[in-house]
Amino acid sequence: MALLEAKGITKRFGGLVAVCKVDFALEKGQIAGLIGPNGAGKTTFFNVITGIYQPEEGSLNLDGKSLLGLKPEQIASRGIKRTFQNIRLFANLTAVENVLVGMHTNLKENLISILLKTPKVRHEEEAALQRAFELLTYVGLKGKENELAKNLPYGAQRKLEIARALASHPKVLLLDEPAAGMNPKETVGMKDFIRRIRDDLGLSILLIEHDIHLVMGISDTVTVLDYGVNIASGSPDQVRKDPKVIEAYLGPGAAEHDERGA
Amino acid sequence: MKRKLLLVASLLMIMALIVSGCGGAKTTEGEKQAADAGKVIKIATSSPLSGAQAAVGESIKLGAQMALEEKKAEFEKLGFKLELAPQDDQADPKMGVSVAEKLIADPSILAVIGHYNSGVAIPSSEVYNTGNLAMVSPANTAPKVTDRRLPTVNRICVRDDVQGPAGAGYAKDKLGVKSVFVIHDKTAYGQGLADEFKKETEKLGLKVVGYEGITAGEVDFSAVLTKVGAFKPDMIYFGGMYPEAGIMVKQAREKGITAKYMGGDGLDSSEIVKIAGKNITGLIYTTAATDITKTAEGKAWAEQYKQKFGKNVESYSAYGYDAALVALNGIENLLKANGGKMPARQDVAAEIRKTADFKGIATTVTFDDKGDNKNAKVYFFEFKGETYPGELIGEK
Amino acid sequence: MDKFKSMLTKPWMSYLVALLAMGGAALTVSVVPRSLFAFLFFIGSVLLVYYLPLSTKAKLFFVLIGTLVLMPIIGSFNLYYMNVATQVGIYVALALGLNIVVGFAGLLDLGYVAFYATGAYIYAIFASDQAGNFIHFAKFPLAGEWFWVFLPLSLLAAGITGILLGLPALRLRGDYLAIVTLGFGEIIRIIFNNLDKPVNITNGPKGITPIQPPALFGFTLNKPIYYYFIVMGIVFFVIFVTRRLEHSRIGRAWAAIREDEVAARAMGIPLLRTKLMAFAIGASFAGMMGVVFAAKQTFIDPSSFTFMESIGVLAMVILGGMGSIPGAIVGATAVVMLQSQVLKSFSEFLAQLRDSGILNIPTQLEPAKFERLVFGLILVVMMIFRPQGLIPAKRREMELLEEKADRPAKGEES
Repeated sequence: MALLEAKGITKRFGGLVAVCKVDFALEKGQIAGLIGPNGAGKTTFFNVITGIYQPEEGSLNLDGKSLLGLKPEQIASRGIKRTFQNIRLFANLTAVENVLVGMHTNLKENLISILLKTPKVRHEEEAALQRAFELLTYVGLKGKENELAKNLPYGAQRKLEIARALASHPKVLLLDEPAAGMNPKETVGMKDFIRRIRDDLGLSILLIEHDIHLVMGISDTVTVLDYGVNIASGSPDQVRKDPKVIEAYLGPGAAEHDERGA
Repeated sequence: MKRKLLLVASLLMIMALIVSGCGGAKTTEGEKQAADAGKVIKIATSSPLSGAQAAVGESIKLGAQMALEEKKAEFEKLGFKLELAPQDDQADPKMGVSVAEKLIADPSILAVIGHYNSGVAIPSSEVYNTGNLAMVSPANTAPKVTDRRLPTVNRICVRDDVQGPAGAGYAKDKLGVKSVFVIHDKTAYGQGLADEFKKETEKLGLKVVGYEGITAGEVDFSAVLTKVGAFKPDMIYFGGMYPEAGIMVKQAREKGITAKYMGGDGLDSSEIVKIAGKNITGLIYTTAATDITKTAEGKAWAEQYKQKFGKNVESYSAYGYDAALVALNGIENLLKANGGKMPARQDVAAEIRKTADFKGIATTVTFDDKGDNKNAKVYFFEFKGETYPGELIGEK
Repeated sequence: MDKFKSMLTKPWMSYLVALLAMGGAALTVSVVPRSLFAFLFFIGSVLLVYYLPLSTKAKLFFVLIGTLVLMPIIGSFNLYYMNVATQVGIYVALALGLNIVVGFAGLLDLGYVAFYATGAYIYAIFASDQAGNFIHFAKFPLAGEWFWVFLPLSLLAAGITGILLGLPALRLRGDYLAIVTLGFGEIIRIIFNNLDKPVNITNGPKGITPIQPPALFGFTLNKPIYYYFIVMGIVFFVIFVTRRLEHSRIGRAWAAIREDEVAARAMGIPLLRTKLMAFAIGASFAGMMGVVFAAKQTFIDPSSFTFMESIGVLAMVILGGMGSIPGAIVGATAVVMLQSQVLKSFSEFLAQLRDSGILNIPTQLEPAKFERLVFGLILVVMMIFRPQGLIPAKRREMELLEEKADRPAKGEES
């Protein structure tokens, strides 16, 4: 059974069908790419998984348990964490604090125990801080721990956002265009980085990305959406050769030049 | 950078000026006190000097100032410099208490003239009492001001539980009213007065056909006036202030309600004429302040006041003056008795309470054991046209 | 300031400066007890300790000495300053409470005074004969000892009121929340204004008086110094709670919601519950202070809890620096001192000059009339040139325990 499984997901906005009967599966430890032209419904699909939208039809399961009807924060605490296309860090908090907020669902402190500062709370806070520093070192932000998030350079902000999402040991990580706005060299770095966190942490990652090279380079499976419809899914090689995909990206009659489509 | 520096520097300078200014004043004053101990006697006024009620508050202050300036020479002969310490209580109980705490800490202050609002006077007077500081109120009409029987608290004006019933009696005896509709503005003053009126009307056997509250600040009274229209009372009684009263009487007349309209001293303001226009004719109000221009003495005083301050007397100007005179008179008696020593505050309070048959410009003052003025009267005025004040039609 | 700091190379120098400043200030006050300047000097010396490069413990020690030992001594020279310090304390607690809502969690609350009123009325009703109107099996007013029961009781009651008001209001954001809280603040006041019928609970607009002062073992605590210590006790409690919460899971969740609600939810932070907690905790501080206010004032009526009061507390928080604990304290102190002290003394100074004939001010320009105007101008100037507040919020620098040991000791700041 797949870790994250969506079947027949449909989301409508008034008369517009943004996502139509999409099937999707993410196996444990895999990287799945989600691609499609602008307006294909990728981000809508993302928002359905993270609970921002409720689908009209279909089922959505994590580890066999349904996620339908849950609020975003409940889905996050089930172990699905995400990053945002247009970085949404807590701008006026330090890097370490951003990561600590990411651990929110793991910490057990409550009002009473905080006020009493019980030994348990103290240990928990110390351990959390320890782990936050480790995580920041891991993503390459050592020495920047006490910088305000808004003062970090762009690439570092991307990494911090990922570190924040990783902080609570999620089962599934959703990355929304992690390489957006990066130059080719940085994009390669991001590609290696994503692969590394998958390998080191055994995570399952779902990736939306415009950069086809990035997606094809690291994904185990690729799903292609066009006008909200799942037009192809499979290994990168299969998808690359799929005429429907080439058509969607390059227009009708472009299938014969499949090399360019990739 | 330079601009910022300049700014910081100038701000610092202003701060320094303010601080050294006040500090300096205080220390020189302290030195002065040390040099010729207790040679300054201060009378404080505490009334709203800013905000919506500033006009009345200031008239109290100016009245007291007149009294002080008159008495200055006499006190100088006794070896004391007389000073006024005007305070702004902002018509706010918290500010009143804060000011009161400030006043009791200054040993040269021997009496307070104030306040205008009973809601401010009640908590503030608790503070005065802890400092044994005498208060003479020119304008607080709520019964509770003196009903607590604080030895330091006195007032020279009439109480609401006299004013309200007096209105009721006048309505029955002089106006021949048989049924009334009572409206109040849900404030301490308005509701208090309306309740006293209602109690008396019921006692006198008049029929109270309705009792309703409106909200101060409203401008549309058609809801309550529709009810009034249905009951067809002989008279509407309103416990509240002039802005609502003015609008309400105008709307009532426009609705064709011809019932008589009566209110308390809250209606005693020149503004009401401007608001109600020609509909003001026939409106009757009871007030604790008389029309001092009726006597030759009072008229002269009013002219002097106008000359000095460039303003017409307001209803409570003369009461501020009388209250200050009562306080100063008490202090003067003590000074004469003890040969020019600075009197203790307890003695001042006791002496003021002993005041009897003291003739002021607006009223004659004799305090009873609670500190109420036995001679305080209720005055009845009726607007005969669009001129303020209305015509004095009776007193009780 | 930094230059000055760099001169204090050794810790003992800072101790010396703190001792000299506070001791000197206390001495000045005792020599010229009626001088506002001396009192401001004293407040300044306590503030100076905050800026000195001392350890947190040393700062706490000096502040405790200043507020719990020196201040009462100063108060014995001039009782009035005892009252001023109490007033400052009341508003410090209110500003700290509102700071949790507005500063930490970023929820603009314009009806904060409603909770203050709730606390004040709960105590006032039972500590006067008012409760006798609707409860017949007990004798009212309750004895002053009940004051201590009502402190935690009103804390709870105001907290629950906060949750009840917050449940509908906190579903809204930004401007809408501000408008709804403004409305709720007014509604609470109007309810108190009208609850004299059909059963007389609040005595309506006429207000409740007299209210029992607190008592302990039959001894009535109605002197300014007792109120001062009660208020200081609450203020230290509030500071303690606020500080603990600020750098905890809850405090971070508030900051996250303030910064970005969508991202905060994606991190698993339940919006409504976290906001409600901020609302309730802020409200409970106000409720507790309300009890002290009612007892100290001995008279309360709805006109003490108007919209302007909420705005006043908000001004303190903004003036001090949103989200900053020392900011809220300094902001409240500055506003109270300005309003009740500095401006009044200044206008009295002008009036004195006029009386003695040095300055010719026409009666139309009575200086006391312009206090509020000058106060407003000062606020406007502050907001133009220092919009972040007197002591802006700073994030605490965090280090790991073992690393701390390696690095040279550094004065803790936050």
